[in-house]
Amino acid sequence: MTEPVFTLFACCIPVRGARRSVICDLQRQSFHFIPNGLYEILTEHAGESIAAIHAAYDHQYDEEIVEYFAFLEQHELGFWCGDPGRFPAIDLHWETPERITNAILDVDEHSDHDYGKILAQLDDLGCKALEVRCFHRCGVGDLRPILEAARCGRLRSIDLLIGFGPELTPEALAAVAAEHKRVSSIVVHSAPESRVQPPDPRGVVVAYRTEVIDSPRCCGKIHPGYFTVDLETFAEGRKFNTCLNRKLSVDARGEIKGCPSLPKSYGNVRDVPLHSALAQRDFSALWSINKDQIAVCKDCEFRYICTDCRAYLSDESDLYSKPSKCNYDPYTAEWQPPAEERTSAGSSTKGES
Amino acid sequence: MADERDDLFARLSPAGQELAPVIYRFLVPSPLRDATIMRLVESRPYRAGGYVCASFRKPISKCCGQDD
Amino acid sequence: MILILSQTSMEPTTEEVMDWLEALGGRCVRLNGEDVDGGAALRIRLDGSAVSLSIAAGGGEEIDLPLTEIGAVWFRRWLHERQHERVSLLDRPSADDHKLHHDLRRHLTLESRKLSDFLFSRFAGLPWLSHPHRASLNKLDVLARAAQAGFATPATLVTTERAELRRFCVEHGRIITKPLGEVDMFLDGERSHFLFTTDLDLAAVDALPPRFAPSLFQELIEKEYELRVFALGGELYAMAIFSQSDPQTRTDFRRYNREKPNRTVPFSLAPETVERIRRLLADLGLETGSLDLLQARDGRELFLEINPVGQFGMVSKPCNYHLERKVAELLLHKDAHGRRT
Repeated sequence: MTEPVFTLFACCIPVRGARRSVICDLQRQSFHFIPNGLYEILTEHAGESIAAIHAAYDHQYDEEIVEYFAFLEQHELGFWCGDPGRFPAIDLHWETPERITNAILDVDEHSDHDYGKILAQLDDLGCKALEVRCFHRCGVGDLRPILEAARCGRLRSIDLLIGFGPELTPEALAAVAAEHKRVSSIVVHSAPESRVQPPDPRGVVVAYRTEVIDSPRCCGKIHPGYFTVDLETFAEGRKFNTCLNRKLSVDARGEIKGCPSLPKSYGNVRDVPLHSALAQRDFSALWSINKDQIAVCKDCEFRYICTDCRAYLSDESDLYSKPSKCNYDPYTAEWQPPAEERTSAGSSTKGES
Repeated sequence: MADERDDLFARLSPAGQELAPVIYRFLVPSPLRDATIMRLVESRPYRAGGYVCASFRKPISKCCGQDD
Repeated sequence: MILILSQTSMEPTTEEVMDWLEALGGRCVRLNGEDVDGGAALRIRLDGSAVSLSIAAGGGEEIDLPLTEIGAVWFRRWLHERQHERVSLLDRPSADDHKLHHDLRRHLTLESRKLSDFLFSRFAGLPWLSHPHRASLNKLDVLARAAQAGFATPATLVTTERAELRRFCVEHGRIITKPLGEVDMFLDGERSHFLFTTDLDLAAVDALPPRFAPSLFQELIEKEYELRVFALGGELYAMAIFSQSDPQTRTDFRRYNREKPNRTVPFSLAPETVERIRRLLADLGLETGSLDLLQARDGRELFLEINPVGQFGMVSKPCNYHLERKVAELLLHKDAHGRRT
């Protein structure tokens, strides 16, 4: 055996930013900040013994380098290994059998969707996840026809974002989630006070928020709460747009769009089957815009764990400009506090499951 | 949940204990609930009664601000 | 058309393979073990030499299984426990009904097994991916064959004698015990009892009675990491499992730590290992299977066991091997080449 070398677990992938880097722990769904110097050691000096690395830096940083490896070992991000050739990188090829993986269905008080028809067509496209956004005050009765239409398909998850109404008590919503087990989360907006119910034994979360979410214009927010540290998202994000790739939406008027915030409609779901809309030449035009092509984002350490937005851009004339609702600056590694909000850049884990 | 029903080997009759291989002395009890709560539904086209549901891995829309 | 033999419940891998079959332009039909065990309305007719089979599951519409169009069969799962094994068959059992109950149950098991066998026999001439008749291997036989294929294997003892076991334990330091056959669990009201591999020291051995039922023991091997290798159509997909650093998973990684799961990463097998695995699979006549190997601290690589109808989701997902698609592609290939004319 040769001298052991430090090897990152293949699911722990370093990503370099302009000012600092992160190691994305795609298995345990967390990330750790590291200095760019350590990024360089882990990439340019991968597979070298600690003695060789010390020498490569002219013994200027021997102590720091030892500390770096101790940090990585302590967080179980890698291991000392005599045969690093046996531990290849993960092939980050992304593919999926579904033509559409996720969908948004918008509803307001004037909507007259044929839920059975929409859900059946989404099922034909293989859609596995649906978010229903109701912008108006809802009662349990507003949810029922939607959930009934989703009773037997291939959907694996339904997220509900619904306007507060007096009927929407935690008990009533827990009963909805218990009856319709596809429901993964229920967020009630425009609520009198914010509160998060403890997750039920199946992990379903019911939350109330005071924010008013009354139109698609509320969408496109970028913050660490929406970071997704997992292998599939990371792999998808290397090649594709992490928000729009294989997404299809039906807005409150029935217009078929990539996302309800985008202007272009591919026809109304009353007249046009979803698969015909999807087949139109430019429906998938934005799917392949990945973070490596987007200004500023391409220098950001969060680029493969952050989900993009192409609807609200910092420069409306440039399809490759940064999302306008992101206030992170990778060149200073600081979140610029927006008007009233304070955000934390120090959090290193995200407990999403 | 530590009660006497946890020790399945102790609940075997003398004849049963004699017939059981040594590994039966080291059975690990666990509450059924913890292990198996999953969201299972009917999925007609795939003829699965226990079709497994789970949250989508990434946010579908991003309308909510960050929690404090 | 591909016939998939599975179960109704908790089969996300079956569903993903079906999604891929459909995406790749194939057709498949799924028959669940429960369908022939009272879980569905079932009609099998023999009209001369013509056989027809239709099922209607869960009050849904009746599906005629297009038996003559089926070109390949995927044996993924089937019934492991039949309905009558879950209930008391006698209305008011009394103490001396024990044998009667047992005989009834045994006969009912044989009855439903005959029905499965009949169905399987209808597809005898077709290519199968895994075959139920090869779904269960003998652990000890496989160990001997693995050694023949060139693998190191752990020192193994089957005995009924404490004295013999004591000598074995002294010789090897610490030892483990596991079932001779399948790992299993026993459902028991609100709990379940798992048969995990368990390690024993001399004190535990001394606490045993002088004689016990035939039991399997092996030397306990200090491991660097475990390997899970999924074999499919000549290709091998390996994953290393770092179960050693967590006391909870040290002896049996299936005692999952959900908070901090064991690291599971792609692994590149040594060419000698690949050769040994190929020899062993050929010897056992297996086209697919899931092998457990172990990298010992002392540098040895040991063969532990092989499951001929192995789970592959647990290898595919962490290593991004896309095995669900590869299984679908292999089935489509079999379907195209195995169809009756």
